[in-house]
Amino acid sequence: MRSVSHVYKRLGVGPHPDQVASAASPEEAISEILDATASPIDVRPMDPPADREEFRDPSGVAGLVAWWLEQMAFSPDPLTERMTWFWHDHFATAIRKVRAPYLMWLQHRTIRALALTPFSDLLVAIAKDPAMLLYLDGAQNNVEAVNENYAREVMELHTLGTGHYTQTDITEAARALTGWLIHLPFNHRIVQAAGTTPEWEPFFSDRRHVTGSKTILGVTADHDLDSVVELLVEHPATRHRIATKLFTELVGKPPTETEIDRAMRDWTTTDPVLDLIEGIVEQPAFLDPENFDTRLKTPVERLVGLVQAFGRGIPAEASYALHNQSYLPFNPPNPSGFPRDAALLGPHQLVHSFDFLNVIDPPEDAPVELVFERLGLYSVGAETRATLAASAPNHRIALGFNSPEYALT
Amino acid sequence: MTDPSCNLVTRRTFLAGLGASVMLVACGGSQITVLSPKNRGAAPTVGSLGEPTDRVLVVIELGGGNDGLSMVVPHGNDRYHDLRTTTRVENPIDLDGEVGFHPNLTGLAGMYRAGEVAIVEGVGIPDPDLSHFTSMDRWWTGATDSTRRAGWLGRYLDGTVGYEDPLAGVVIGPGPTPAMLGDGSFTVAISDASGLTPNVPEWIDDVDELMAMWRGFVPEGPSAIDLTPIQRAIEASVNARDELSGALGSTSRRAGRPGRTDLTEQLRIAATLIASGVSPTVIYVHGFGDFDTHLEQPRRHGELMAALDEALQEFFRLLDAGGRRERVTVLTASEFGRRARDNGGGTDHGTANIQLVIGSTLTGGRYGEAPSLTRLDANSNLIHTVDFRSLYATVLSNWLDADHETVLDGSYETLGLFA
Repeated sequence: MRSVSHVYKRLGVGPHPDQVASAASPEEAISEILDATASPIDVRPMDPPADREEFRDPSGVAGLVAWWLEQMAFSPDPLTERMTWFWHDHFATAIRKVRAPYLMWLQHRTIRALALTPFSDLLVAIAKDPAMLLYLDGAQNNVEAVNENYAREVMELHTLGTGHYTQTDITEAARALTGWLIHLPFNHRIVQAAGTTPEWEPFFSDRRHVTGSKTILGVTADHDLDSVVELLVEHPATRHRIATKLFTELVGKPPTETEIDRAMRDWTTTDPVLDLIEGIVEQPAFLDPENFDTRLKTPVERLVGLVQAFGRGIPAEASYALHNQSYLPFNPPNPSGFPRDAALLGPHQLVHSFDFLNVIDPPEDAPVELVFERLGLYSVGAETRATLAASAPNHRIALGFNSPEYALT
Repeated sequence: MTDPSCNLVTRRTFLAGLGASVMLVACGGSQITVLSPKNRGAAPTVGSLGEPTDRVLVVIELGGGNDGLSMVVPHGNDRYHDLRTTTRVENPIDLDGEVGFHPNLTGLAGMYRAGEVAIVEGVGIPDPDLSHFTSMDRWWTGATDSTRRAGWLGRYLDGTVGYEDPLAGVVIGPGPTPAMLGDGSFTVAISDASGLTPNVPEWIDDVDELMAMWRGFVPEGPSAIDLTPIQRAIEASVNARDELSGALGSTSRRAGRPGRTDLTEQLRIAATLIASGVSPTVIYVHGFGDFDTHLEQPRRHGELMAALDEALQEFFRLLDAGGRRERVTVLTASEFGRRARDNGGGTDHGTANIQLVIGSTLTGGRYGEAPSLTRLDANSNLIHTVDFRSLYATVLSNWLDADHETVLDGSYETLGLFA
């Protein structure tokens, strides 16, 4: 049971206790999860807005967040949910700056559709994604005012990692990336320039682009966005970095050089990410009990697990509770994504984890063993068992949920 | 009941000081591994840095890279006017014919004239790489490589109070900050005046009882250093909650949804804590603004300057009301300044910057050396004249009376602000 639960925790979000109960062995769980990726779910529809608006509180994205968290909690395809979250964190983009939930939704749709396809497809889609063009100032980057924001983050955070490029590479890449705009229907100047581009889609403006020779990562050419993305996709540091990050995420510890070489096999950034995932889960480290419960649950994992155990759906309160933990989906605190590790263990985070109880209905009397089972706790320490046994029935779920054991995944 | 092997592994890991980032703890049959900060050298032991002090250091983080040239404007320098064609600050409040505060900093200008503001010019990181994340990491850790995870203030707390006082360091902001992350100490992060009171549903009828039961996860007996990181955090949470509730008057259940806390409100909370029995030694305020003004800089930066000025005036007014003005020094921290030449509406990432140190016991004026606006580095950025750790060394050694060489793993020149 514990090893099946582990598989669902790492390849899904949560996990849902009923899903765990349905698999006989961890190997069977892995193949069920991989098979389920063949039939993607329908994406929630959304109407385009009249205008952009300042982000003041989570209300503008609460509906999207609730829909997304419900997919994490109840989708029959857990791996797509895990990877859609992984890429949202990797290509962090925040509503705070984008100021249009509709554009965050478009980006989400893109990430979800490409979550298991070649990394190269995802990278090029995000490079031209309207929300990203706004978040990292790509839509402002033009021949009159070259803006380095996206050029730097795409190298440092999305692909190569530090140590594989110079400031000159960034300056030159920023020039190559100039000229992209978005057809925002309420901006008259842009509507004129957009020509036949459909509303809300990106387009390229020759007049705003820096033409001429640029030298990026040692390659001199009249580079543009597509050729910059191609350079980054083909760079060996990108392949190694993406594989290492995903291995660490799924296995719960950084890979050794041998492990990462075996997990990558002949995978390249132009092969489906699903192939890489298959290579990672085949490594003995993935099912090694040494690597069970080695990470702290993120607030999103905590909340989704609670709903899977005792809830029915995701109410709007979920967004407010996550926002208070700097963990609101669609609103990561900075371009490097959401906080991890020790940053999740502060008294603020732990105390306000109790706030998540607002997302479930008042529970019927829950026996101690049921609380542990629903929360996926198969190895419970003496203090935790004694504390729950001694607590008032209406506090049992709260305490199980905020126990040292539940904090880990 | 505690499994003895649990304690052994935990203690060894902590005492080793270690380069390890993963700590394995086998407890009660379950294996618990928690990532812990890795450190180049051992954490300073409790009491090794000096005596606890009743002075307070308040750090205000101006995240995103504050444009120092728009905060303290070199209006007397013709070159400034050439470089800043679209973001030039008009009508600065002249201080000495050379520089002037942003026109929205009227309160600070008054404090400067009263000798309570030190403007430190040319502050920067050696070998800057212009990345937010690398640069923030330098500022947070006080180290110029990435081998250290513990924050500079975390190390200060490690070496003064350890786990004994979780409220010696308080973060006011949307979450914890790496600057206060120690290897052997806690900090408490609060986002608003409700402190550490959970916002639980009605069917949890007794929050105090819930918190008391939660405390039951922490075994009786072992001292803090023998607990797992999660147990320690739970214990600190419960203790700190009680104390904060007393200080902030926030015992009642918080209804509804948490609102946004602006800088003025953050500094009000800071002033309340300083006047109360909690009396933290270090308060770290973050989450204020987005200073990453690649675009629309004049409007956005101007609004941030106005908010900063208003918040500081309210803070010192409250300190005066509580008779605490002399006990407090404020330091600004921002990962970098911005590019010398603007980009047509905003500014890109830069290097050397201006930081402010504010307090009634320091000697106000201009410190450091303004970087040349003509002789720039290879990326057209300002060349720093003051190592950012000199700023830290100054407040550690001369304000908190702590041994800055241990905190910072090296000796740095102090700036003489408190002479």
